[in-house]
Amino acid sequence: MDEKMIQSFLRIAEKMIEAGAEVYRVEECLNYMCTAYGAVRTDAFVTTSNMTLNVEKPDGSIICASRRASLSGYDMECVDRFNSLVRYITKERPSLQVINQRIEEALVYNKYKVWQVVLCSLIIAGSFSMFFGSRDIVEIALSSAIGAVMEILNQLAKKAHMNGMMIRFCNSAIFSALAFAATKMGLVPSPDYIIMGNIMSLIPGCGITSAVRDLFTGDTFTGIIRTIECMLNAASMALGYIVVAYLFGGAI
Amino acid sequence: MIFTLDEWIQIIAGAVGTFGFAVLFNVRGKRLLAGTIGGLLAWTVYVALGYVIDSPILRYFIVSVVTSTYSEVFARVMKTPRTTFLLICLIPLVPGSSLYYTMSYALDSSMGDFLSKALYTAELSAALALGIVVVAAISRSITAVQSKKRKKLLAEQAKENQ
Repeated sequence: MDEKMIQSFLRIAEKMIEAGAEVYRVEECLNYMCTAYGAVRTDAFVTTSNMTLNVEKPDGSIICASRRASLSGYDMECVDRFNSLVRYITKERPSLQVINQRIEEALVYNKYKVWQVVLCSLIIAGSFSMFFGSRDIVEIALSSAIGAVMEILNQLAKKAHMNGMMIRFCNSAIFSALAFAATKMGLVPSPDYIIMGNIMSLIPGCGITSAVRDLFTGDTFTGIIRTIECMLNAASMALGYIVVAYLFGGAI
Repeated sequence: MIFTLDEWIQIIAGAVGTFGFAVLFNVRGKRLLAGTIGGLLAWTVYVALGYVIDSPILRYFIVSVVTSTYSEVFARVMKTPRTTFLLICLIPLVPGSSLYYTMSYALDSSMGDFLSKALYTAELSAALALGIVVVAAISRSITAVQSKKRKKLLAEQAKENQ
């Protein structure tokens, strides 16, 4: 085990964090891998923004390394692939060359195509409008259409490296405006269900789930970071709606 | 138990929405199916409990415990990180409508309405969170023992190799 191998381990950890793995899982993975290669002591501290790893080798020398990471969006397939890779590494103890080769292989996997993602956003918006109580075909169709348009705009905004909070604000403002406009035109009785359906993909529900789990299972630091992120995201979304609703003369 | 048509529509719509989110999180194959069924299960339990328990907050807690347990079990069965199922199956429980009403009351209604709705949303989220935490705490104390054993085994094997 040497510095180069530690770098490869950190690369695996980085990919897992980016794809939305739990921090304690990533810490455990680092622990397992270093132990499998003969580390006497491993101290891994992983947060969603930074990770440090100290490894004591049998001869007493110490390797320290740290790496900056950031959550780039939930990708469960990626988490799963790297989780399996860690299993393989701890079991087989391959050479550094093989590890690096396997990392490259793990990075090549299927992602859903853009049209599939847009289609799913359409389904999400429509089905949640229905879920929250809309039984009007026009309303559900409008909500779905707006959901699809929002996803296309999201994809464009991501390509332009727009700030995440700004995306949420604009997203929420645009679909609220469309919903209010549809109401003014008399297409739907109220903007409520359209907004509810579209709001679902903006609510940081997953973020809150992860934050709470981290907070109460010992990873307080990550829990706090995630909680604050969620609050900011929710606030930027609410602000988008409130600005538009105010312009349209109060919620109808 | 026989649900009304309205409740069936709600359950199915919730499951379809869950499926959509699973695709956004790049969940594939068998896991996509298991996640969608989890979302279906979550809201079915919620609706079924409605015939017995009046308080939605208590129901949220119970559903959260049931769904978290489902996620833990299926994560084991399918050898996949448990976040995968946890994040997806709980989607129908995200309090979208009460959050929306909170925002809309913030603008045009009395302070009392706004505060009570905000409190209600917070209570739902807290119940949801509590359910997740209870199950996570139990499962983590189980896995902690296993992970200690695994680490010991790995250390022994590493020594033998040298």
